[in-house]
Amino acid sequence: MMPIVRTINNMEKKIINDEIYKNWRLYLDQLLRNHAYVVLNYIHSVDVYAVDNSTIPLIRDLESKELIRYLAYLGLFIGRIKTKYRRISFTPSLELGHIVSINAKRNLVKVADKGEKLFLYGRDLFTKSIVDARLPLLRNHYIVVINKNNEYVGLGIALRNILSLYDLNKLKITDPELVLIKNYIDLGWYLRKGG
Amino acid sequence: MQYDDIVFNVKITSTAKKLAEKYGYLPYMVQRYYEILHDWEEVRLFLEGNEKGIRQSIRCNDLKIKCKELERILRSKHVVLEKIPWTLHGYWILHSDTSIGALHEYLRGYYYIQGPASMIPPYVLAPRPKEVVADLAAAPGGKTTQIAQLMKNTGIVVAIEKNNRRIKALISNIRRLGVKNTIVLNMDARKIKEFNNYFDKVLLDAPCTGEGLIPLKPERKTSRTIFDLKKMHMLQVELLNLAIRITRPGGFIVYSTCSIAPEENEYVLFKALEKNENIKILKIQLPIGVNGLEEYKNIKFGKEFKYTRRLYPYLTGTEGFFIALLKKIS
Repeated sequence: MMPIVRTINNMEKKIINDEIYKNWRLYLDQLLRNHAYVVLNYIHSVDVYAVDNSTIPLIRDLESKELIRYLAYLGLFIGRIKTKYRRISFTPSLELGHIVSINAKRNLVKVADKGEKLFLYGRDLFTKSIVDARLPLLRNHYIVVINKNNEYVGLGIALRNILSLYDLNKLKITDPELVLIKNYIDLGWYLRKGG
Repeated sequence: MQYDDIVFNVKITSTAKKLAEKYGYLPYMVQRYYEILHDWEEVRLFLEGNEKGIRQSIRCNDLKIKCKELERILRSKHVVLEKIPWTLHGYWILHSDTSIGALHEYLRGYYYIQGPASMIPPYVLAPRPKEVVADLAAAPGGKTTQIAQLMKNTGIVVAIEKNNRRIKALISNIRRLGVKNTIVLNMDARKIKEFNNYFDKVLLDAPCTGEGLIPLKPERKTSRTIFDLKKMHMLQVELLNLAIRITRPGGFIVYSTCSIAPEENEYVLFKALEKNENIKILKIQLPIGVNGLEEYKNIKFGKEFKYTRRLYPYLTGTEGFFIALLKKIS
């Protein structure tokens, strides 16, 4: 089905900001300055893209010449707003996670080589794989995963709360094989489903 | 139009038949190589060259990493690299313990696996920051992402791809390489015709028979007939006329194919120049390859055709390629 293309509305922007702030204590405009936001509105979801302001006139030209319906991608994909059972949620994209990874104030883990490799194959993270973290890690929140060189690896979802380094270290000793972070999306996606 | 009967009519000689049988080609192809090279020994060298294969190569993506840093990282992973001299960002892969497409650096978008000849068209187009550029046959995105890289992720690249199956790969590569300045349209490029005089630069890396890719894909020796060649030629002429139409006066067009067939290259240009008097062929400064053909089968294209560039695998060690740089005069 062809989507409707339009600029983002205030409610959608608030949903995105609330999610980013909830997870990482950041705002969209902090992460992406001087950008406009364009959405591709499908029946049950809205895909959100950040574009440079200079792109808008061309988008208008595509609209006027009835070519906008062929739009498949533009700018930078931020994520998707979905409505399910009257509940509205924003799921961040792999690319947004990369931008967040530089400045995230919490919900971030650094993993060892073996953990990184497994995560890149779409696997989950055990407690023993985590070498450092920006705490807290909050249950059901999106977690940025980086490697020992501070390179972005992907996004996970925390399966339990970790509020202090003491909690984390204790868990690494008592239950190293516990799945702490469920894989949500990783860079390996580009070779698996992405391509 | 009267030249089509000459160009697409091939009288096959016994020498062509023998060589075709020896190397596994359709005879009409080998006869045409003689019409291009004018020497049977040269044809034999050309056919031998196609048997050799081509070294793998990558393009460093300096939107994400400095090339010197990438060199250091790949060398630490026992990848042996050699800079490709006629490119700014290209490297031959001489040896790698791991498949070059399986490294984490590849997933991070630090490089793109790209043939060395196919890196040339974006350099020739020379897109600048903040320009508006069109790529009329964009998938899987090697040249699109290279254009975005040369524009430093500014301006706009309108990437058009008709094929539904290939659009996914195009978008994936755009995302993986951190490109932020594209607009991807999944449609037949001919629909963009309303954008008269709109784009600063246009790249038409035209759909072709892929005759230049035989070293990589030997099945191309027998997969296309002369009728396929003619059909492709007609599409290429239409697309080049479109590319000219949508470029602004003073703007530039690069026409390229991964084919060494004059029917898909100089003859396409010849027809487009007949229809568009406001187009000039510019000289391409390139240290590899040979001049384009000024004539073919006694049809004289013009002296300016020597400014185009042909790459033959047996001479350059790259895939076969053709590049032309055109300027739309006001």
